[in-house]
Amino acid sequence: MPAAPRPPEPGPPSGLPPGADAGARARRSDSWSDAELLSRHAAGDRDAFGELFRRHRGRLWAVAVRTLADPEDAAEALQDAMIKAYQAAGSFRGNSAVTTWLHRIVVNACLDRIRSAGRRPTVPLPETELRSAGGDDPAAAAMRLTVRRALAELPFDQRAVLVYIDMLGYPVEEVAAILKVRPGTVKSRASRARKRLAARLPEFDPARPTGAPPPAGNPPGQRGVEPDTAGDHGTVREEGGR
Amino acid sequence: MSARRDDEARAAGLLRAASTEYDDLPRDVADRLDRVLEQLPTADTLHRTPRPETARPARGWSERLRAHRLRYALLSATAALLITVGAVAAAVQVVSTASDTDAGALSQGSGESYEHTESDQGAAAPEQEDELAAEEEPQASGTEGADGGSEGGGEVETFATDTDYVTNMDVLTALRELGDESPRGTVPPELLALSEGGPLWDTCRKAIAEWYGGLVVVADFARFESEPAVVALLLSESGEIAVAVTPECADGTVEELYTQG
Repeated sequence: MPAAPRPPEPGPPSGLPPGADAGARARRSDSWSDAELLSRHAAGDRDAFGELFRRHRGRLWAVAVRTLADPEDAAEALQDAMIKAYQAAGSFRGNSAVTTWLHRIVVNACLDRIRSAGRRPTVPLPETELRSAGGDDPAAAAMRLTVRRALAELPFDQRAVLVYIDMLGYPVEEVAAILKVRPGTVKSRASRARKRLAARLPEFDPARPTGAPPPAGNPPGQRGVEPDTAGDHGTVREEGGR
Repeated sequence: MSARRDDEARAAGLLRAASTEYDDLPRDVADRLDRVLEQLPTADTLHRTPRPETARPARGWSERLRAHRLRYALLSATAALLITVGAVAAAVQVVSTASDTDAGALSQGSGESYEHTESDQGAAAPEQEDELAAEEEPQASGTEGADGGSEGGGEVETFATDTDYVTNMDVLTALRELGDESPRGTVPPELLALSEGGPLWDTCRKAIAEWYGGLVVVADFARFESEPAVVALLLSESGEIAVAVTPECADGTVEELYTQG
């Protein structure tokens, strides 16, 4: 019976000599492309995936938290997506950019999250929103809350498009690649979604006097969420939005 | 027209403004992700079989069911044994009591005890059947054919017309016109598990419904541009939508091939 093939040595995986310091590794891995990191991960490099995911998790978080409107759900979705990407890296064929692939996994994890919970995303209570807005104009903060609520009411496909294009400023072509649809579909979906959103906003109601506040409270069937009060915990700023 | 465009532009502006309200990745979430990552097994042990999750649900379900049945059979056998032992003990007690008082009553007493035993077993049997039937229910609905979607997939009417839908076709109308007289073709092999109904179809149906914000009313297990596809008609707030998605919907992933409406 032939001997089993020897598994690749797990470390140090970066091609650095044993004993090389973490700083040297970090400098080296900074120069690696996403695809290189992914293939190193598939070959058994324990640190490569962490490096790759850390590179993009801020932007992936930005998508998840806007799509799900609840930080806890977003954290769960991001974790699920990370594990799925970790496991599926071997099947990545390089037909798209690694970032596109990661975003696609996150979008699906968000959808899974919504579906498994059997409900629409949660939206913070007005007082939460107004408090987190700090010294901002309360009317403007209330309007932003109404927008977030209206967004949460949209079908998932439309919501995802608006999050990417209008909230995070991604180009249509990139969103099309992430969602695996044609750019024309992304545009028409975004247009339909904006109209639908506008129809749900009192701001767009011609009968509503200017400056009247939107109705308070969560929409039916949605629970309020305790705030992530600013200052309670730090944020990973360098990985933030686009 | 211009007013609509203005509305769209304003909605986009409001979304941009609302987007600034969200926090960046919180430190505790980042730390949690790092901790989870550290606990994952080495990557090279995971990549031998690509996409193991896709094929797993159907097998997992039947295996789970089989495990339940085995456990139930063992429990039933144990219960039957206990009942028999109990009945025999009762009979022995009746016999010994009767022998103290009236020897003539012996046969009657033991007869009663045996009747009691039989009735106990008789009572246990329907219960056993009921529980087995209850266990088999999901499987029964899961083995619904492609035309029997009413139980396996809510109110969805399912078909397998063998149609190869294409982009420049009016898919919406084609789906609307599906009915009893529609041709019955073969289901593409990639869609066979889905077309049988059950949990995979349920997951797929829910994923489509959630993704498009509508209710799936018709599904054709067919092809789109030669690719195996679930071609579905949905009812939504904004009207009817026709969509084609890949078989990946079985694991809750919506990969859109086409949309109209």
